[in-house]
Amino acid sequence: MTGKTQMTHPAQPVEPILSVDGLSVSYGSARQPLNVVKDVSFDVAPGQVLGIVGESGSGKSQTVLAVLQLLAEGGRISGGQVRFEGAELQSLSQRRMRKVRGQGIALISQDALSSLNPSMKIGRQMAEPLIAYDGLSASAARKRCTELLDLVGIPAPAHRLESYPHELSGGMRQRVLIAMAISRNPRVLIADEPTTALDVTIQAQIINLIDDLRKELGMALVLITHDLGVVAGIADRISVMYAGRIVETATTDQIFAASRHPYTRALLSSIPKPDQPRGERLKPIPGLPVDPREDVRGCAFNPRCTHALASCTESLPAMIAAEDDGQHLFRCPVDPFRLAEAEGPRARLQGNGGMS
Amino acid sequence: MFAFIIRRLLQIIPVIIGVTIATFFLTWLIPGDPTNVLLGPGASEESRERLRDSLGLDQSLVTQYLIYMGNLLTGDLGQSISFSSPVSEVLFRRMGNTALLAGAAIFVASVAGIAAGTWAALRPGSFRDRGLTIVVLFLNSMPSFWLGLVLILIFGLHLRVLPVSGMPDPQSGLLTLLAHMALPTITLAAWSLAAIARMTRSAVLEVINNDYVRTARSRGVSEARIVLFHALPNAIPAVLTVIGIQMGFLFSGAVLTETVFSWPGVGLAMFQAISSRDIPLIQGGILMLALIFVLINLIVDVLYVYFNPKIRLN
Repeated sequence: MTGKTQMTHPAQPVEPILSVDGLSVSYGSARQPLNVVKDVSFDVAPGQVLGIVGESGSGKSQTVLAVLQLLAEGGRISGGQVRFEGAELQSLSQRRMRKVRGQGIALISQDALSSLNPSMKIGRQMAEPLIAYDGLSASAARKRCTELLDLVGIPAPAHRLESYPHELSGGMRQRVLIAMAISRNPRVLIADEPTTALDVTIQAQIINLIDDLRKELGMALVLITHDLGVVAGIADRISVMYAGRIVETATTDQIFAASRHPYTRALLSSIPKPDQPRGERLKPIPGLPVDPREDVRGCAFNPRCTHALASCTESLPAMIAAEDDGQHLFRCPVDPFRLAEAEGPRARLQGNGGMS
Repeated sequence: MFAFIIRRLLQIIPVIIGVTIATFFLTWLIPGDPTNVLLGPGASEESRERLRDSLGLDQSLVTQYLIYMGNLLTGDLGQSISFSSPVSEVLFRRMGNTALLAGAAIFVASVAGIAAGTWAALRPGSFRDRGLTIVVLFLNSMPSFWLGLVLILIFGLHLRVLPVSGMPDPQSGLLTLLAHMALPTITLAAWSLAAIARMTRSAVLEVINNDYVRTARSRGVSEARIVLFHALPNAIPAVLTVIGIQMGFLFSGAVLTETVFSWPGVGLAMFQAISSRDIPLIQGGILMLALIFVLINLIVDVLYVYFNPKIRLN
């Protein structure tokens, strides 16, 4: 994991392929909007892996849907912009946006069973856009789909093309979704909780598969998860979201070695460690996630934060750079990392949980 | 699939027994002496007695039923009193005409209903969606004979563009036949069209927000393909059920529509049978309608399995 930072050359800025700038998403009326994503920004360079981590309801999936311009009925982008290869996606026509979807940015969604059409055979679902838009003949599309299923590790792929989704296991369905996502050679792959519905043993297989395909096909990857452990091994950068906002963004090493936001640190110390003494309880984060309907003044994490200052309840803390290179940004006036440094090595280790 | 169809066909037997029992005893409950109808009120008691004897009316009700069932098994539905020919012949001759009308009506109702329902569902709450709701309510609350009369008034009397009565003989060509069919078909289809449109609307609305529709969209599939290949096939089973039920209604609705437009089908014959107390014809007609109803349901179930592959496992 330590080699990661060197591999991506953070000092040399690469032109991002996908760039999200100040994105906000709201539901409901303009007068009483429900803001589910607030001022979210991130860049993904070609070939890079970005992990977006947050608990359910933190706005991760809504961010993804907004990027693809696929928000559900009643949802809208209320601020900011999304750029893909330099083009601003909101201003694209429906027709051009359809070309971006699948070919430019592809999505692997979380629940593989409900994400596949139950009344269509796997082969037909996979081949549909290939035949309809990419000009492949039925037999060429069939050949391609067989190769894709083989690529994602499905045994007897030609036979599986004739199956219906309900005839496959959960892991296989997820692999089919992955094969569908990469079928049109996208430049950016967005995986939204691709392993939530799966067994732990399958989870690792699927994540490794996605990462291998990314390397092989040269795609950028945005990996959305609630589990820091999932992104630890493969992400170059991690953005942590809480209540619709990015609270900390840094390289993976920085997050695990020196996270600055109390929420990130709480997430890290709630990860079970292999060397943890038997019988020791996991550390949950006290309190409940914020209900998006109530507008917490100031920092949304303040009701659950052990470090909260009086100022945290009054105004939203600004994004501060941890180092001079501007790679590590966080939204907290306290900086518990400094606090821990001052308190000594024992406290520092606590925030260091994920490294072990 | 084959075993499924055989099993369903066997299930028809108890249904037929139930229907015959019900119609047989219901017609028996109709007040009045059948000999009165057959011989007229002035007939002598002696001739009445002879008729009762020859028709078996002096036997007990259960014996009468068993005789009736015995005849039924040999294909004998009895003798129609008002048409003075065998019931099976009367019904058989007219069955084709009714099927033609009902088939045309269900075709119009299904195509127009599914199209209208889908069209409305794509923009829920829009002007066209609310417009459809009003039209559906209007069509649903209108008695079919009334609609038939209004159509006759408009197209037959005022505009004089369409024939309003009867069925042309086969020599006069397809166009004449279609012209004669137009008004009765619309009349018969109206109610079903409304029901099918309403069901399609809600079924499409239910599936259009499913994750797999989003998956298709995220792969760049166009809205037209999404509606045709992802939303409709998953919405169709619910709509099929309604179409099946509506087809049953169509055959009974044909009684009124055929009467209004003098269409020589089973419905018109049934109307005449009821007005002239032609009990064998009533019983035969109801039995046939019940049989059609059951067969249509069987076809719907088979189609259901076709559209929902998950059922195939069981």
